[in-house]
Amino acid sequence: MVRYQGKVSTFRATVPLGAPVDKLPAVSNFVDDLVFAKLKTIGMPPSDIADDGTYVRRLTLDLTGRLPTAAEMKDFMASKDANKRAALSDRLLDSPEYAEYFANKWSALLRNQRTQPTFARGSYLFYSWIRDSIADNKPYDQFVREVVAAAGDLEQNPPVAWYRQVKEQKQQMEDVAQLFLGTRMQCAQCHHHPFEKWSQQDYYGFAAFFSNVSRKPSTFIGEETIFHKRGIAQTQNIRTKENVMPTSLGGSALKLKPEQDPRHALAEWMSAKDNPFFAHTLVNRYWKHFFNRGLVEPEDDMRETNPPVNPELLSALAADFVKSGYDMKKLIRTIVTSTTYQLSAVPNTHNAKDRQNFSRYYPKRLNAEVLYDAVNTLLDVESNFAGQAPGTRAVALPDNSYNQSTYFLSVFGRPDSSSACECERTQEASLAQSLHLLNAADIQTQLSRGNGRADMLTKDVRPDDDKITDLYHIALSREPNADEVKFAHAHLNKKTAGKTGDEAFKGKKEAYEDILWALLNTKEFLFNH
Amino acid sequence: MNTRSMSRCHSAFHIVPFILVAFAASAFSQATFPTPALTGIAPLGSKASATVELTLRGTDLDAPIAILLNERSIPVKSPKPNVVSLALPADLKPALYDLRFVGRYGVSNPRVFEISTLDTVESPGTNTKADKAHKVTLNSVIQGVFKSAAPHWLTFDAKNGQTITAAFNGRRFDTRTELLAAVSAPTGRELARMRDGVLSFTAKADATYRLRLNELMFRPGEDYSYRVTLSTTPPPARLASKAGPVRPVQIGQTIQDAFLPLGASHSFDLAFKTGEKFIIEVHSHQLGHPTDPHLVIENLKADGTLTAQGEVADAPAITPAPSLAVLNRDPSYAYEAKADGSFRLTLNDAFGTTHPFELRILKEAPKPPRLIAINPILPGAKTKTAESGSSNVPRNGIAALEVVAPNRNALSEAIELKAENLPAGVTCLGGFIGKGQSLGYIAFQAAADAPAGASMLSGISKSQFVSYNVTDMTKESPLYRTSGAPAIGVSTQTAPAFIQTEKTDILEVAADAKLDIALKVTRHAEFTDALKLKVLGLIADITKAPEADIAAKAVAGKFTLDMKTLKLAPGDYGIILQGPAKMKMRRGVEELSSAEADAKKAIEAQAVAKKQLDAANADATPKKAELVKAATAAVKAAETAKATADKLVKDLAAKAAPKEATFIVYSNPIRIRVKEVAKK
Repeated sequence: MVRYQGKVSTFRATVPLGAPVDKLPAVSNFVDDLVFAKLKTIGMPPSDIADDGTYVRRLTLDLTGRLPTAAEMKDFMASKDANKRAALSDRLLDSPEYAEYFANKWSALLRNQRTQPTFARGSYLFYSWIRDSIADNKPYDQFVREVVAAAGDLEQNPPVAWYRQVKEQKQQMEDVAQLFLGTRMQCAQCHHHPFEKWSQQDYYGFAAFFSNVSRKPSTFIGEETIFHKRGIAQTQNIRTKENVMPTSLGGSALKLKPEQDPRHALAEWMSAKDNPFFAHTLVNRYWKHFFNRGLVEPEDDMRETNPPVNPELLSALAADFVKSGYDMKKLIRTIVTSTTYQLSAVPNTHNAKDRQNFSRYYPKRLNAEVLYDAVNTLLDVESNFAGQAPGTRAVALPDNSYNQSTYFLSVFGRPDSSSACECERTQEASLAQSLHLLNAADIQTQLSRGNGRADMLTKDVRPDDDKITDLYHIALSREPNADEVKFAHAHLNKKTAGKTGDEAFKGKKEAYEDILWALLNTKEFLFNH
Repeated sequence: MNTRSMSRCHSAFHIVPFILVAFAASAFSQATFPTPALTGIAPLGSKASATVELTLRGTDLDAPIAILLNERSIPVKSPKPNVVSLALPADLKPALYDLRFVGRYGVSNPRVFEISTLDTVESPGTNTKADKAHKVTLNSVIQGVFKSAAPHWLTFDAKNGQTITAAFNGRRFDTRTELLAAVSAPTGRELARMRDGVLSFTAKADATYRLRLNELMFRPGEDYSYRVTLSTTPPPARLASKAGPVRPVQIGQTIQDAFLPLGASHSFDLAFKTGEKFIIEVHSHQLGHPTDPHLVIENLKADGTLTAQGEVADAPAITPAPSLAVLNRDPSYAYEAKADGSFRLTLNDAFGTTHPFELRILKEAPKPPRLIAINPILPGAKTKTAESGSSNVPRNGIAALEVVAPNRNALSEAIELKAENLPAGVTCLGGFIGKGQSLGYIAFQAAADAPAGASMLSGISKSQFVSYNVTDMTKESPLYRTSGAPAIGVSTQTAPAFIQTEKTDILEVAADAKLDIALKVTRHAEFTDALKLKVLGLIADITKAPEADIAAKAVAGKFTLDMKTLKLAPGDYGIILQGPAKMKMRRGVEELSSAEADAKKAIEAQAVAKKQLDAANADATPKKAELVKAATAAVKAAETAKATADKLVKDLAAKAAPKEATFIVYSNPIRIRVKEVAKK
């Protein structure tokens, strides 16, 4: 970075690896063109394409937050359709589980918090609206407008709930900037950062878009109705004491009529085709969802001094997204049908240390809700959350309140929805997590439950080989290898040797419990790879 | 085909924030006199000419007489407690109705009941998984209760191109259910979801589709029932509006349109002449739309410049506050022109919706005035509850309704409150809302022998109710519904006291003087307590309202209104006295009397059977054994019947034991005229 007389410029240098890139996989779309071009430039050959079992598990988890069923896995592996991977993405995108999983993501980002018991209804309504918007494939710009410019009553217009949590004008502006424009404006409130573009004037000019948001008592206890208060939209710059009109980032001040809600003007600017932030931020966020690393990292800190690792790819994705009419499903389809997404996580001799060029898939630990549901699936347990239908998945929970009542979710880092940053979700490993999976009473109870997986397998009269294979299908979406089968057999035999009748049954059940316990503690199970 | 008529039954649902009713005690938790209250009905609807067995949930549903369906009184039979059977008239039009119970203690609060031409299908409740979905046909009504925290699944066949609508039309049918619904294709893909109670989609193929219904928060219980009409009728098209140039509007004209999206404004120019009076009223929220109209009025000069005249966001607050808040976000503005001129009116929806509105430029306040009746409560101790109420006149007593006149302004004239279509034995004592005021009381008196019964009044077009009881308003918002005309019932319970002013004409007082008002009290034999009555209708803060104290056993009293303290502007005011009165009462006396009569008959029958046995024992014929056997059986049967009758008498006697109940007593309506202070 070079700084001179208040101006900043950056220069990025990469030392190429220089390995021969002789063979590249077939290109599926422009994503691959741009990723592979970069790999060729830096001399980093990509890994092979992931096998079918790996792919179906990866894609199902990434799109729906659940493990593929054994039947789904087998059907996919048996299919000879050349387009089966694309067809799978279409099917999963059309499923209600996709809507639930991505609603979970947006619900946290939009701070759908239940901080008081009386907020419950509003949380459910807001979550339901988010979910329906995603299921409807509502254009992203419309989705954002409906949140940012929300007005009215929570019952009639659930996105008003965002204003319930984001009460202050500055907080509204900062959240919008970070969440939808990938720009962290917080520091500019007090000073002009020497390395950053945005000044205090920019800060207050942007905040002025929220200067006429008003509230009055709502039809809900403790809630408020949001409306645009007629008047000149402006905010005072605390340093200069001057009133600042609503000003888009890098734009000119707007002179709006008193009856014009400036938030709509903000939404118009954000969704303009030439807006340099809006589409870029979303595509980067979604890229990170699938690849575990954004093209800009962190994904909501896009600035001159934090450039993308592949600027051409970011721009191309953004342009395609805008051209599609902000079609989120199309964006996802573009990403997951790319060859790049289908690369194996297994490194070759050259790319083991690659963390930013996408020469291979970067494994990521299943997040809290997904892991909770995966454990339930493996152990054949139906969840039972308060205020939800039995069997409701953890990824479909409407708000943060379940974190307190379900230790698993909090220990595995489910966010409290108190921030517009996805970094609130912790993916870091901890001893508490390991201990929970190894020793927690609820896990042990589920393992040994009557009519649970272990119990049903014990009662199942099929050969043990078939049952062991089933477990690997469910947990890992692949066939067990010979050693794994042999090891499982040996354990079963050890637990049942010399026993008959009830004792033999008990021994066999314990053996299956042990196998299940071992499976759910493997990295292969815990990670999406 | 099912048509919907919302205008009569209920035009708006309001959930009122706790703060607006926090000051007021619920009459029906403080006052414990019997008054019918319906908390639930099943089914939620039926077909005209059907005989329906209606299960009622609630309290004080003794001795059913009839069901009121709007103004129609339909006699009932009661095969078992809390169940009534009624034959629905064949000429009932498909619509949503207010259903009320009528029994010994009068009339209950209303609950929504739908008359439909379509057959009803019951959702069995076992269809809680997709693979256990219950098959239904199109053009039917699905009824169910969420008895567990699980969705209900249904399937139906549809053809390519068919438009299917699933409507939860009564919004909530006065239930707690907030219904979510989604239709999915056989593949599991969701095709459409319910919004604002309506789901609509067009089938893209001949197939069996799945409909999932669930309560928003998966709350189970009898309060979470639903009634969904599944039809091939597309939902009515919404009126859409487009931005356009400024439109002229005249005094006397009403414009019907819809708000522009994104909060954009419509503009109108209104010309007027010197001396003209007019009222600008916006109607949208009052029509049941979730809008927040905003009206800006500017003076339009000849050169096109605009200067501020007024800006109105909501209707003015009603003072004194009614017992149930009447939420009204529709602005209105009254004006008397001192010179020729023009107004530029700018109207938009602050909520940014595209719902309809009416812009009315009235020459005068509407006649008849729009009035909303509310069951008044006992002011006093704070309570967290919100309960449904009803208005019943006890025999030899007076009951009153609060009457709210919305959209009042400086041009609003006084309103004489009248009601007709009264139940037998009831007379209307009238009431009054002063010029420019918004709240008054109308009272009714029942004769000593007025029969139990009820009727829907005419003369007051709307009423407001609690849809369901809320035990803690800090945790759950009550839901209020603006419904059709109110109903008045007669309770066979005699009032503790009949209170009336000695003089019933208008009482005049100077604005700086005191007014003494003498009262006569006719007491029921059991009632001897003192009375403390509040003067309602004068000032906003009910805790500071004047009081009338009547000593224990006294048959007369008086109270004084100090105009200096009350600071009332000259004009006419309508007030009423209201207060609690505790008295012992017995419930179920009629059933007890009937049981005692049956018990007496049982004793007589027993005596006859004994005589028969004595005769048989004395018989010397060969038939003696046979006669003795028969007579012994008869004696045993008579003993059993007597024991049963005695037990019933004992149980009913315990229930009919005198218990203290708190009644609400009223005076007749009182009209006072505050006159200007005479200049010295």
